[in-house]
Amino acid sequence: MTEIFNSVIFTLIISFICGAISGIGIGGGSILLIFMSLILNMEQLQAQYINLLYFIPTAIFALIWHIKNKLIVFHKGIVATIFGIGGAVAGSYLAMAIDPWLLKKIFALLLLYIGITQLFQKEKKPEEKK
Amino acid sequence: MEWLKKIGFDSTSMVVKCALVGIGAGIVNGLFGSGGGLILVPFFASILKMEQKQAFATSVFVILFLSICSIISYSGSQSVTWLEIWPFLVGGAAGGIVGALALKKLPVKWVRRVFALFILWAAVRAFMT
Repeated sequence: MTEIFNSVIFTLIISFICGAISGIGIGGGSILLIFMSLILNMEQLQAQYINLLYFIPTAIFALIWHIKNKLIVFHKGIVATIFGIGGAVAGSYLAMAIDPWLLKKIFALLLLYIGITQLFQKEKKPEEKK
Repeated sequence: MEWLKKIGFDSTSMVVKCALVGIGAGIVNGLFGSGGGLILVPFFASILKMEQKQAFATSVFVILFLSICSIISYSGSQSVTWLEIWPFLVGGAAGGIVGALALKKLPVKWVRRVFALFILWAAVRAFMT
C-alpha cells in the first residue's frame, strides 16, 4: 500500500513538473513522454497513449481561453482537422504496426530535432510585438 | 470559387496547404503521441499567414481532435485504467496552469536551454537503449 501511495505521489510530482514545463511552452509535449518512456521504462506505445490522454484536459482548458480571446482561426483549423484525422489514424496504426524498437529510434530522431530547435530558439523581445 | 472566399479562404491552394499541413501533423501526432504542434505552429505562421498567437491557439484546436482520433485508434491495442492515469492527468493539468502563470516571472531562455539539453540527453538515451 505504501509503495502504491509513494508511486502515486511520485507520478503526481513529476507530472506536475512536466505540465509546468509544457505550460511555459518548452518541449512540444515531449517532456512527460520522455519521463514515462526513458525514466519509468514504460513501453513506448503505452507512454504515447497516456501522453495523448494527458493532453486532452489541458487542451480543453487552453481552448476555452483561446476562444474567449478570439485567437482561433476556425476555417483553416477545421480544414486542417478534417484532413488531419486521416493522418492521425494512419500515424496511430503505423505506430502499432512497426517494431517498438524502431518506434523508439524514430522517436529519438524527433527528440533530437526538438532539442536542437529549443537550444537555438531565440526568445522574442517585448518591443518586437507591434 | 466565391464560396471559398465566403468561408475565408483566398484561393484553392490555401485550402490544399491547410489540408497537407493537417495530414502531416496528424501522422506525426499519431505516430509519436505528441509533436503535432511542431508541424502546425510554424506552417500556420508561415505559409498560412497567421499571427504567432493565432498559430499556437489554432494548433491546440486541431491537435485536440487529432489526439481524440489517435486515442480511439490506440485503444484497440492499449488499455489503461483511470486509477493508473489520474496522477498523470491531475499533476499535468495543475502543472500546466502553474507553468502558464509563471511564464512572465521565469528566465524562460535559460529554462528552455536546460531542458533542451535534457531532451538531447533523452534522444541519445533513446538511441542507445
